Amino acid sequence: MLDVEALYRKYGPMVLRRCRSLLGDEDKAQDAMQETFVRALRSGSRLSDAAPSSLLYCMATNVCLNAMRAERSRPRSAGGGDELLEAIAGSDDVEALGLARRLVDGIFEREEPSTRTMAVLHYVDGLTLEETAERVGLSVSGLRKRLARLRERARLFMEDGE
Amino acid sequence: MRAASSRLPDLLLEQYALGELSDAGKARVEAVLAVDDAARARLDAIARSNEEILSSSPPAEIARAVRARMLTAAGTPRRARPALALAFPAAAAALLLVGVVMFRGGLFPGAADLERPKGGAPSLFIYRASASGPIELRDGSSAAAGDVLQLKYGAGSGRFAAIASLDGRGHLTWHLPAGFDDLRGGEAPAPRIEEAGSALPSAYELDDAPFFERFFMISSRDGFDLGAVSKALRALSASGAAESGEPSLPKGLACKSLIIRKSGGGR
Repeated sequence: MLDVEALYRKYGPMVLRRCRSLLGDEDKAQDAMQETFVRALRSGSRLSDAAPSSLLYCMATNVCLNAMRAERSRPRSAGGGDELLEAIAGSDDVEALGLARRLVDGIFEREEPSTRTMAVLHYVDGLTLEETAERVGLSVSGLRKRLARLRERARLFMEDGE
Repeated sequence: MRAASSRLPDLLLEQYALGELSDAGKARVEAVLAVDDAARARLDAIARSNEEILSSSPPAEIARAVRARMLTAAGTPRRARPALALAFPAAAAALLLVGVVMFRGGLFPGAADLERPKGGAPSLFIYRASASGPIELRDGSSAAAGDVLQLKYGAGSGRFAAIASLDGRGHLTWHLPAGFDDLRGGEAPAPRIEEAGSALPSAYELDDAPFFERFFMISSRDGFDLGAVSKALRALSASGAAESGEPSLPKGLACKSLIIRKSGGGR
């Protein structure tokens, strides 16, 4: 049986820092941190991996993105929405920040949670494709395809909205 | 394609501090640390932050709060801070005087994975949350105040059904429909079952009522009035036979009951 206290003692600070950076609010970050551990404990065996930090970090990211979407608010501090906007706006074919803002809305509304988490890890956190793939449990080619599909859907999303 | 930032990602530093990086990742981080004062400062800040967080949010408190959240499942009103989360038992205690306590909005962990009851003959199942997963409580099983229970029922699709319980204090609690106020009077139709079998949407915490909590599932192919069921159950309770007697229900209603003995209840 998993020892919640030991798990928190080792990984709680990392998870809370992640939640703070994305949500920019101490109460919300504490709430998201607890929710992350609830989900992690429910996932059971996945936590027995050699490096649970990747799983917990991705779960925390997903929990925070869900919280932001639920509140229909954009993240406010380092690692948050503005950085995501700028990062995506500066990548490939997406150039205008205004369009990128709508792109982010599209991502948050339409994409699978795992894809959103991957996008944040890569575009915002600056993990390489290899590093992102390792942490979300995908092959690099698989991740590349997911992100390419994401960009394609984003383009279509923007074209539809024109 | 990758982000233009050359800043060492937070996650890599976190995992370096935890000793959970691959050899390649470790080499990348150490190469940066060797030449980047700012990166070293960030690593030091992680160590200081760890101490600050574990001091202000102690592991034992957070673990209790997380366990409490696991019992109430997703969708339960959020408790933003550990202190508030820990205040929950006190709030629950205040409700103990009015029958089993319902956790609105969620199943308990693992309940969603329980085997779906088959349709056909009406049936009622009760599970108790435990650290190792749901444990089925059969008729006559023991449970204690504070135990969290999940009810599941089986009934032919299209039937009408209601579930209520009587406790050792004679209190009547409605579970299906949840929160039904039978004292308001007036006609109240029993809900129609759309699925052959399902878990109730909320788990329950047993209160400190003594002796027993007896659950009744009443069903019929035809619609029926909950008020008549309420009257029969209250009459059963008033007669002192709630523990083993049968309610005098209107003709055509099937009744299935299941009793949970309260451990430490004096009997």
